[in-house]
Amino acid sequence: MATPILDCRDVSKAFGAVRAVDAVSLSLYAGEVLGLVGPNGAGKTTLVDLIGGEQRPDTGRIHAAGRPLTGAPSRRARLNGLARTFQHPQVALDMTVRENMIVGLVARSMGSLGGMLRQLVRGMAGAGDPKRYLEVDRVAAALGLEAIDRSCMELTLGELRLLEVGRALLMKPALMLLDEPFAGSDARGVSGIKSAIAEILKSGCGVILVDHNVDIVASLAHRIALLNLGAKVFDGSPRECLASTEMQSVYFGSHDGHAGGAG
Amino acid sequence: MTRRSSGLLEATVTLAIAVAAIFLVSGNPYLEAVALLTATYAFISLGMYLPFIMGGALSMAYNAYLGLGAYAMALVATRTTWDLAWAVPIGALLAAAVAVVLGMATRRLSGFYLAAVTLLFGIAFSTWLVDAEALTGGSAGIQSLRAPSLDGQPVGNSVLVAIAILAVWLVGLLLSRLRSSPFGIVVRAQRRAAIAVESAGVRVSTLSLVTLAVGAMVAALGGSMFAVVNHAVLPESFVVELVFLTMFMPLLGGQDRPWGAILGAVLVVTFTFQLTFFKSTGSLFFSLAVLLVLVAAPRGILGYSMLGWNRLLGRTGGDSGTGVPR
Repeated sequence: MATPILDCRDVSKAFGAVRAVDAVSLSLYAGEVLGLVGPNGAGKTTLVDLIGGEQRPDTGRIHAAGRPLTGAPSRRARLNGLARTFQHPQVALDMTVRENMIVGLVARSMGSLGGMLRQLVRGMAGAGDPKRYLEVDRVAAALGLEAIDRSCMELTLGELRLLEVGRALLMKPALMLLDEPFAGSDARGVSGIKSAIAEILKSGCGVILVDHNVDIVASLAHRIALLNLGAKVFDGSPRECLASTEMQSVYFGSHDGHAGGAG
Repeated sequence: MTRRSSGLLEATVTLAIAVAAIFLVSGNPYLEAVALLTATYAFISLGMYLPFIMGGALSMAYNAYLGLGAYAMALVATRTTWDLAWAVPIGALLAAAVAVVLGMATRRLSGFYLAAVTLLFGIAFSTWLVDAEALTGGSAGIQSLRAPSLDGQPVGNSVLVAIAILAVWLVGLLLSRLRSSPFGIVVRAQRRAAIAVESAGVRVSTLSLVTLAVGAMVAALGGSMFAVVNHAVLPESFVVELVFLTMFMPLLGGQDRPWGAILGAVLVVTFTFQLTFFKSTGSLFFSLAVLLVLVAAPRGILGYSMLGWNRLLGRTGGDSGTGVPR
């Protein structure tokens, strides 16, 4: 069997007495979309932060493309092919859309002190015209982001999320972590993010898609992992997940009812 | 207009202003002294531009970096037979090393706390200059620096002041290019979205150290120039108060481009030291001017002027600056 691009084994994280993530194991293969769903406080964002390197797990191990990643800082996760978006968009609002996206394209070349100094000298020499990065224009167009020389202060929340996806795409990742990309997005934003996911999959990447909206996740994911109170309670196809007793129990507290649109 | 041609226009216009300033002051010792003081403030202001205005790291130790450049020049001039040009990289590297050590010691601090710790260092440095008599000459400083020479002939002050003005122009141009470059974009982005930049693969703390070191080197260059033209260094020239004065120069002149920092230096020296009318109330006038500019034109005088100019030409877009030639 192929090596998974992400492999988490018994990963746990507690904040005081609260076990935010409780012995979660999951794996993801190239070209696959794994939906991560669960109600508020289920541990979805904490799990994404543990994988992305923003937080260190208390126990368990994480491997990306066969390389150990457990507790590595977020920039090392990046160097191992992980790119992510954030539940609360992390964007420099006083800069333009183009400039924010360029960060995704050039950051890798500044991953070491030598790289930083090279870029410093190149910058002083006048090299690196931001408008020459045609890749930025191409990705922005693919996502439906228009007028990318405008200030980010003019963007809607949905556009900010699109920008984050675009910046992550420009990192050419092997694995993309999308943390609630549809929250606050209008129809155009949703369509842009769906296009982005299609684009990522074309290049053989894997996607972890975290969202409250089970319907959207089910329509895009190949597999869904359901979290509740920090633990993984179900892992299977979207159809199986929606019909599972675990899903009914987590969202409705009984075996009856329908889970679509929960959250 | 392409970036290359607008960059050429920016370099040409600003060089023309620098050359005009040289012609204006050349041959008049009083005006040359004013130009040197302005250039020195401009170097500190430009030194703060990359780490503080672009990167958001407020270090208050720039009086120390300026002093390291000046005392390096004084010591090379009085205790060695080396060419004085060697003092410039020595002072710059010393200042960069101190900035890196200070930056590493305060890497977990930011905002007010970083400013407070570096301020303490700046105060300690000016006290040390007086105390370390054997090395620094104590409160009497170091006098009678030999003049630099070219082919055995001493270089006159007019030439040195012209070199100082051209050096300010060159540093301003390099920083202006840097601001729009990928390096400058990442530095500016980490100011507001450090988590995203770190997650994109850049060690933000190392990047901050690099910017602090470059800023310290620029300030030290100003110190070397100041010492060589004055032929003397005194500890009272490197007190921490000058950092307070300098940090508001880009706010007054404009933050969008390094030229605003230089314009701020020109305005401050003119209003606080030159105009007879403001002589006794120069600092008060300066404080009011900063307040007025922050309220009426938050992008500074240059930023506001360029905004108006671009609107006049019907230009929009560009980078997050005001659209000064990029």
